[in-house]
Amino acid sequence: MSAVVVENLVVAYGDHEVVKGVSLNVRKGEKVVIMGPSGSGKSTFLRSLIWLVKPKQGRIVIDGVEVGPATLAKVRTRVGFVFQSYNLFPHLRVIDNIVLPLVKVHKLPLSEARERAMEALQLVGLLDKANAYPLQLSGGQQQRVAIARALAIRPSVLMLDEPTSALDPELVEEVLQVLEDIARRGTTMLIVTHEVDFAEDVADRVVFFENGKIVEEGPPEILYNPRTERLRQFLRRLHRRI
Amino acid sequence: MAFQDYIDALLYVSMGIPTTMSLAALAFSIGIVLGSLLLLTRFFLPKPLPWIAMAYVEAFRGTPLLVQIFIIYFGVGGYLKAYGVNLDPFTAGVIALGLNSAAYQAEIFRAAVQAIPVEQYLTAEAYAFTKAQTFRYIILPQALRIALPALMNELVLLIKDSSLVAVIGVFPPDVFRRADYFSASRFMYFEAYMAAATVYFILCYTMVKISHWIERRYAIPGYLRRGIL
Repeated sequence: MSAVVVENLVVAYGDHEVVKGVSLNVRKGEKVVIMGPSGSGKSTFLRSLIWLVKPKQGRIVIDGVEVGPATLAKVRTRVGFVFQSYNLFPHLRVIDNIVLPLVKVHKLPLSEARERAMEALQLVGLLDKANAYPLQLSGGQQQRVAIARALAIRPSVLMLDEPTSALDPELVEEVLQVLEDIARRGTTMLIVTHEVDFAEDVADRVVFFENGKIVEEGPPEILYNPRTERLRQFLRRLHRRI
Repeated sequence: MAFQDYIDALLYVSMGIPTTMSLAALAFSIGIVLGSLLLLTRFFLPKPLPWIAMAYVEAFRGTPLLVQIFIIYFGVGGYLKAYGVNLDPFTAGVIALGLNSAAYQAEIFRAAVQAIPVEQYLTAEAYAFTKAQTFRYIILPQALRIALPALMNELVLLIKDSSLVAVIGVFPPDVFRRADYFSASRFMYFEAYMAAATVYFILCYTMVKISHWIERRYAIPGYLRRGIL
């Protein structure tokens, strides 16, 4: 059974097409890593799946529900989304950042929401920061809270948009470790990232974006043995940077 | 200048503090309510209502407060008199100051709401918050904190601008009008108006101090840039 089905998705900013007819099928429990150079449309693609950017055409089915104006709110309650810049609510304590969507959107009683929030915080190793405010935490900790916020809604799909790109190199590891733990629990994950090692360890499939299209996809082995010259070039540059 | 006369003047004009502060506080309250409504109109209501809200702001921002006070008291008040309604100077003053302040407060709120990063809206959207929930739980609490210094500044301006209402003969007399009385009866202009200035300064400076205290009290932890205030 598919967790995410995307058919011929086109996304444009005005006349400028950023995603040019992408199809992708993600099985339940599958971990798909999306890579590609800046401006290749990978982030826009991920965002457009829950209509944070409204697609121009194409069909999206998430957890068996076709995304459309009438189903959008419902679909969004089943997707945990993690942003590059964490985007925690700075005026709320860590625990309340996680509790707020559970209580207001998922309509859980406060006690149950708090329990779930604490569970999620334990999973990302930040139980002791429950009462801190986001801006008192390091970037890595903030991103782990954002991941906990996404997990607490018990999503069918976890979508992560460059979750480590805004972090200092030293803080990247703690976030990737958390994501690996989560991956092992069988959560369906769609991850935009440049972390090659992480992709090798975690991904069931790697999808390479270029100029709004998927130019290569396959098992993580393609990261050693790219079939296309474009991916080979991309990886060479990435390795040189590291 | 005899120091004793200055002290006399100070005691005399101080009796106007309740009127001055009532004018400012009532006008500020009207301003908050009407200012928020203007903001909501601008962001949430269908056209052409946002344009009307914007026109309101520009009209009050682009004309002198004294002229507005005269329009309300003599102009509107004059028409109301024809219908047997008596608009007293205090009420007219509160209305004029309040309508004026609403325009400025609407702008303060707008700036505060627009200062919140678009990612906050995006995140709220991704987590399926409704528009109203987003505003209530995510935008408003942050916007109010951003708006606070400017709002308190607006209150300080209102305390000072309330002196303009003296010219339509507000009763009971405010600080400035009492300074007028004092100077006219004793021919001590310098002492009288210095006393008025002193009282306004103390009122405003107190508000500034209270404002700083509230800012610190409600600052988002981790957000406070220590050592600047």
